[in-house]
Amino acid sequence: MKKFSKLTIFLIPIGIAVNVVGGQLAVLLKLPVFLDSIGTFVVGALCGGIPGALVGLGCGLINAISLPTLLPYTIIGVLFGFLGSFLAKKQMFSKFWKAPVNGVVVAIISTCIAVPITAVLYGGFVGTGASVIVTTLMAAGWDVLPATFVSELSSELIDKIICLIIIFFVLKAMPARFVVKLPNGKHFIKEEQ
Amino acid sequence: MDYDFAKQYMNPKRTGNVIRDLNPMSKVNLMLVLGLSPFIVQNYFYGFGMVILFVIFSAVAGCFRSFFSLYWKVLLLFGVFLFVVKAAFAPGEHVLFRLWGICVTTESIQSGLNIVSLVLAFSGAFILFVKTTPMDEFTYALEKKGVSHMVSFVILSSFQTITDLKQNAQIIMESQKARGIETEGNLLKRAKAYIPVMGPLVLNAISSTEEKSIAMDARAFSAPVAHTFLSELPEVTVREKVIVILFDLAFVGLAAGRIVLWLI
Repeated sequence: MKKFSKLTIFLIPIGIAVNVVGGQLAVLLKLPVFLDSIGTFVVGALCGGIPGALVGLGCGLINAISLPTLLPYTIIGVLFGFLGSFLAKKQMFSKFWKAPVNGVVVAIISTCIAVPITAVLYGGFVGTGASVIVTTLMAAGWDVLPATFVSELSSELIDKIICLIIIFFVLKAMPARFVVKLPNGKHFIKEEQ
Repeated sequence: MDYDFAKQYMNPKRTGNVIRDLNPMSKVNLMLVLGLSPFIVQNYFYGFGMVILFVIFSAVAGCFRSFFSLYWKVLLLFGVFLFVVKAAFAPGEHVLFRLWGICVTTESIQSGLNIVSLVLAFSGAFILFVKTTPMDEFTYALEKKGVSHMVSFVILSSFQTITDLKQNAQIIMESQKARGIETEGNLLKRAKAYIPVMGPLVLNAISSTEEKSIAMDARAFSAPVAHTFLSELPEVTVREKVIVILFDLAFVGLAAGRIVLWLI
């Protein structure tokens, strides 16, 4: 951890807290989405893959304190950190129309990892609203894997598209004098001609 | 002058409770061994035995209330619903009864009990560890093992920042309400309230890091010297080490036995 700049180290706890508080705010406003990976993507995009992954890891562990069954999903958070950095390097946070595209890509990737965990470990049951869809489909004669896939993908798509749109606005509103000091800042600053 | 108050910081920190006074590293070790052993034993009587054991441990450690306030949610969500889902949909031969395309068999009930016992046992171990180990003691033990003090900072600061940001979110929400944003009503209205709260919250938090890093460096946060600690933990006793090693050996024995059985 020594090789990170001081600002990066101070941003990691902030990213974790933004994840947790963002999720709680969504619960408070009774929104049907999680929105608990904003901090991971922001830190990943601004500071690089490893700090982003650390945010995902920390956030997963803190979420696991209140519900330990979420522990296996931490791996997805870690991956989001790297994804955030990758998308920033590919200039995918530069235009608004790219935000929903990012959302779809991220949702598909996270579904592909979440489905095996949910289906194998918990037999399709995750304890969220999506479980209702799973059990309905399974009662209609579907197999565990496709039923979990459909329900996960539908909830992930909504969640991640909204999430990435919020992240786009947050990154856009970030003052340039601050962004330029961060490791990935060069991907966000446009040179004045 | 009364020096008792000052003296309490000179001695290692003890609580007088057998479980709480274990070294955090021993607790991590025991948590993993006890929490993962049901995965190897593969017998739900053993798994549910572990669950009862953890509840007893939490009572001995004097944190039954805080332990159970988290654990009952897991018990209810996964103990009941996961079992129902498993029992209804897992395949099996010996049909107990059929109802609207749902087919409950002895095998599906078996597999339901199995998976529930695994999930509950591991969750119990994890919650018990979190509830009996204050995070500052855990990070202290990590630093003694040679982990950088940056890691301690990140862990401890995360918890502090969550409390701070939650307060900030409350303040921002109040101010946005004063400005006329509605936080109740239909879904669209509530969704619209999310961004005006989240935006300032994130930007504020991120731009405050600069001042924070200057403040921390003014207190020699990154000075390359040995760090001192406000309170210290007692040295690990030989008895504790022996107990932990015995548990580890039992676990390795179980795993070896399982592999041997599996190969035969």
